[in-house]
Amino acid sequence: MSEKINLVIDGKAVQANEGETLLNVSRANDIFVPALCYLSRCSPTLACRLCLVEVDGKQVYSCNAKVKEGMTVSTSTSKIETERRAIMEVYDVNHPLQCGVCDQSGECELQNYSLYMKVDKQHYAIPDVARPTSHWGVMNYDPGLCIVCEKCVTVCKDMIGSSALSTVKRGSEPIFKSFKETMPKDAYSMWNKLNKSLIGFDENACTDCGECISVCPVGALVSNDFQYKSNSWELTRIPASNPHSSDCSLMYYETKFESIDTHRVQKIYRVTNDHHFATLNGAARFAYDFENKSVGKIKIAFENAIEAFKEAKNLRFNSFITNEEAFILQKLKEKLGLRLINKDAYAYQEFLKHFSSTSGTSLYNASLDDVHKSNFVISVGSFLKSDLPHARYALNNSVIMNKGAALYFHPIQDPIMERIGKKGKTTQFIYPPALKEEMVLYYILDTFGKDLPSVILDHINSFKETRTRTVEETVKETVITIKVDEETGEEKEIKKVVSKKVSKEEEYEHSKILDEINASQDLSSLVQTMLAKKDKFSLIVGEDLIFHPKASTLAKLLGLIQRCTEFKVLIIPSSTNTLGVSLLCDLDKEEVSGKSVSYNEKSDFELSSLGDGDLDMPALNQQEGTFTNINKRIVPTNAALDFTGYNLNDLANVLLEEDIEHTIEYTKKLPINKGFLSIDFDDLKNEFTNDRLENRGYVLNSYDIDISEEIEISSALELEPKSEEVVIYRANPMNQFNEFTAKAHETSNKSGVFVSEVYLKSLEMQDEDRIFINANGLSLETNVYLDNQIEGDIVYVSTFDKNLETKALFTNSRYNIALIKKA
Amino acid sequence: MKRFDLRPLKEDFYDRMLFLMKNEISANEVAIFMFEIGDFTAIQKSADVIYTAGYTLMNSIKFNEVDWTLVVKKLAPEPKIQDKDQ
Repeated sequence: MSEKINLVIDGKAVQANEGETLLNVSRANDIFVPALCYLSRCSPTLACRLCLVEVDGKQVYSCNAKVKEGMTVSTSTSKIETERRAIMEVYDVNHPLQCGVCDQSGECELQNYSLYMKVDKQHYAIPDVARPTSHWGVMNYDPGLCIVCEKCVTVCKDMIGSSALSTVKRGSEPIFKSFKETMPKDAYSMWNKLNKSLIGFDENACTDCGECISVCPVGALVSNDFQYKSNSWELTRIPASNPHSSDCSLMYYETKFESIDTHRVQKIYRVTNDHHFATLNGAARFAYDFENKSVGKIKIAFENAIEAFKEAKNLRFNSFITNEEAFILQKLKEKLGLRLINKDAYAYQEFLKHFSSTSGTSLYNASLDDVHKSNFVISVGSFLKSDLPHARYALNNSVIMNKGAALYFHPIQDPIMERIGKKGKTTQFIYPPALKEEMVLYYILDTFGKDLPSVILDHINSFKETRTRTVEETVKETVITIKVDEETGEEKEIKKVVSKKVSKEEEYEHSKILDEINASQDLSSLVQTMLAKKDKFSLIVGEDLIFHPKASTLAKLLGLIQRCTEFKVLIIPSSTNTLGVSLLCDLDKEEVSGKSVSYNEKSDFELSSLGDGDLDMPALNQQEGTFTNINKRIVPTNAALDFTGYNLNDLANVLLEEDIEHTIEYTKKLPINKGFLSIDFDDLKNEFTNDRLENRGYVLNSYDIDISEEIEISSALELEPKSEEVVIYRANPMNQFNEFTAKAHETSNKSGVFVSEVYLKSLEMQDEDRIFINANGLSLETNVYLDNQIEGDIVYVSTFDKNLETKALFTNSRYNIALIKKA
Repeated sequence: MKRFDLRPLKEDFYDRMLFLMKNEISANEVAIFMFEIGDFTAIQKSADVIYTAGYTLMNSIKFNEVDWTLVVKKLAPEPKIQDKDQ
């Protein structure tokens, strides 16, 4: 860790890390500097110019100025205040008077700063021009309200990685020249740019995360669904954690009474986030109304549940539950001798076990924060933009903010991922055949490994061969010509150096691993170029490796990567609390014959948060509890809405003969030997502090494990579809994760088979045609959908729809071979 | 100060606006008019009409997505300040 830098801001001595900006350091030390366009985790936009400060007598923009030892900074001088006041007046020029109906009113930064800078007069004016509104995917854009701070453009590029928004030119009246002479310089420059610009949108690049809505300081970009539904000050903010994916990001449910008529019923109107600290994916932001509306305690159903549990041999469940619920299920197993069946968490548990055997650690050693801070990131085996958007954000953010580089390995060609960095320079996208993830891991071990076990080294070397290639070289040659002087007849030698291209044969070492993963020989030299000045490495690993016929081998190779390379490894938990369930539950591989009960899965007796079972349970927006997220952090979530029925704890009280009033009493009882801490739920924080410290719950303890080197060496698998067949992939469309996201009214409920434009044409079908898909001896009738955001001929099949048995099309892998025919 | 909603008149609000200025507003009194933005031509035209009629346009601003508002004082306008370049 480098030494701290000392500086003085407004007379206060503060310390900072090298490379930090004055604005972030000021904020971290509770020193207020106004700024409209700055986002703490993105590059400075330099649009608003409000963050002017004076450093040793010179004015600088604090968002763009790095701290230096011994600096003396003033955040306010009379000159700066004059600029800021003029800037705010300019922002107010022609700003519509619609605060009474504007969504942003009450939390509008234009309102706040206009009041803060005491804007009580307007010195500037310009004729307004028509700027019609637009409807863009999940949002509406009103350029009349837009102050072109470009925060939306910045967040989409620097954080999300879609670059779907950009500034575009607009027609305008010219600013009076007299203003140029009379008004403060920065205010004029800001106005000059603002007056000519608007925000433009590329729909094909947008991934519907809605982060641009979050960062918009005014009401220019608003949620299409939320617009004109409520004033912000009427809503109650309830801190929670994303219930749909394993980032479990900090978010807020915002609730209010449903209507005047039904004022006793609370409703979630929207989900918001602290965008300076945490990002949300589209599911967290838009799929919030998945509550179980069934009401009341139905005693007979409860009694039936007790009987069903007593008779049952198997308990099926998934990982969209809290740690406390998982802990209760484990206790039920111990008491009743049930088999705990959770395919997702079982596979993850097994994967982690094998990983630990070669890594020597009970858990992987990276977090999403590590990826954000890295400057060389590799992603393997994850359909990143859909599986875990936050991992994509972290990868993109690392490339942009840390002058980083990244490699993306996945069989599905992805034009959205390809928007990250500069393809072929700072990023490269390699599309290996399905099931070849093993070879990608060998590639990483070969390129980055040190002190590898000899068996691995031998295997890697068995792919190597010496090849020759013809290279063209430029050589310099001295050519001598004789020139005769016409008058004297003297001969003169003239020497001239000329460049000449010559071909020559050159030997080089080629690894056939590159051929196996569809990478060109150039990848090796590109990676060498990328590696210049890189010192922080992260490897993101997805579900393709966890659900793989050779998952145990892959897990062990991954463990080796953590142990023998500089890469920190992040294994994406496939569902919200897969990691928590895998730690808390002793899961079984197979069911035994006999009756089954289930929690949000199908069985003889179903406990259901979806409202479609035999006994209703609260959904995750109706309960308090904790999740174990991808960062190995235990984070709390709170109930946004009431639930008047029974919950799992009520059942456990009867079955376990306990008397626990609230489920969260189990929080402090979570097992210490699994890495949990004995802390009361109410003592868990869920916030970020001004210095961007994540003050959420606590981090799980990790343990050292004895290392075993037993790795099976065998040839990599390959799927070989016949000419009329296709490789299918188990994945959900963007922002769909489960039955709960499917229930929400704002998410698209298209479920079926998703194909690229080219492949749809080759099938001679149209978008939404009915088809039969045959795999695993099963034939399902469903729809085919065009996905403009993939390319190539691998198709993906969604599984979020409980009523479509698509999961049965796959066995022990995320990939399979299928036949698709028109219905 | 009086407020007038001219939105029902769509793009034909000018005569009514001038009628109201003449008959309903006393000298030095302020009137606030609201009209529909339509194709945006009314924004400049309304300002010109007010100026030509000899009143002071104190503010002309978008009120919401579809409506516009004018603040007019029954007082002779100051001469227009032309930009040096124009």
